[in-house]
Amino acid sequence: MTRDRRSSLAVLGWAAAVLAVTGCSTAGDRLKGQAPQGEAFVGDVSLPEVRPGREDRPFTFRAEPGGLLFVYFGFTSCPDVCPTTLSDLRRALGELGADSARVEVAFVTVDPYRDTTEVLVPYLASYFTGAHALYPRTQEQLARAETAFGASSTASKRPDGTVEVSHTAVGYLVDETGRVLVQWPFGLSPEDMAHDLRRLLAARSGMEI
Amino acid sequence: MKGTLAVLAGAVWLAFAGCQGPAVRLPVHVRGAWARATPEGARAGAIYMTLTSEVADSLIGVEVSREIADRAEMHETLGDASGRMSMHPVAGVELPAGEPVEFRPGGRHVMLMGLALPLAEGDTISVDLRLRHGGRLALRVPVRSGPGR
Repeated sequence: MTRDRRSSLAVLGWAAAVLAVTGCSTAGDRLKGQAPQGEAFVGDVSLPEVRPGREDRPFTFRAEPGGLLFVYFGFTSCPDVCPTTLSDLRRALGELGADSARVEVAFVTVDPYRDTTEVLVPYLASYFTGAHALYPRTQEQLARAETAFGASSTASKRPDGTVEVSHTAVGYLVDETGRVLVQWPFGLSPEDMAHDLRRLLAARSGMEI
Repeated sequence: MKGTLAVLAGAVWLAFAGCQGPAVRLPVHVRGAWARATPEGARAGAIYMTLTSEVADSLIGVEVSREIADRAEMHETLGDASGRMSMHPVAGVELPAGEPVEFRPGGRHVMLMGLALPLAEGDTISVDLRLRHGGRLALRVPVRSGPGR
């Protein structure tokens, strides 16, 4: 290696170090999830939120100011995929400490056959405090919400009474304007979820100041 | 230490009494079996594990007592590029000789259908694995909130 080459390498190394340091507070440290497809605006969509012993109330897909809204389309009879994502999210929220109060959870059931209010609400409560249990009253309502998120699902009842469900197993983080900021594919680790939540919450705190 | 790394349920002795004379050692090992703790109201649960058979065999069924669930089935979750996932029952799972076969979240799993009670963290449940050649293997499965937890 020549002397020239060595010095240019040194300059490169220095530049990389500077970038690494400044990058921390700006655009570096990328999100672990994926950028949403297309417009990804869901803030004008609402679904009925069910609560035991009370009337439905419309829930619109927007986070509280300065917070984040996690949205998931799933069903309670799902033994594998949904509990994996929900328990990983619970663990990620645990890592956030007090900041977890700035993250709301909304779960949309895609299985109207089995997920009654009595099933859905306690199911969610065993994972999260104050989660929103969303139950589309019509297929059109569900389809409209899914289209906005770029999700899809089918739930069909077979002659033997069993229900076959397939669904988009993606978690979405939405801001207070109703924009999808990032989507998490199935299998993202709790550590990566916590990373994205921290980063997006920090950006939201900055906006408030 | 309770509930650590692996549940070793291999080395089960099976007597082919009257057929082959002496007892035959069943060469199937199960490592890291766990069932996910289920939330209130959930009617289904899942068991994960890694199965290794020293000889080519296949898992053809899983049995569970009614105190735990109505029945157990082997299922596989499949996903497409869009992130859409669905679950399908499988009739059997091949166990190539010496090759670990993984049952893990988002893939193969034993599905417990019609849970009698929620699976609570700290519980241990029993299921029987049925093998095509190797007979039956009794497995004790700890209930956890997640892998390694």
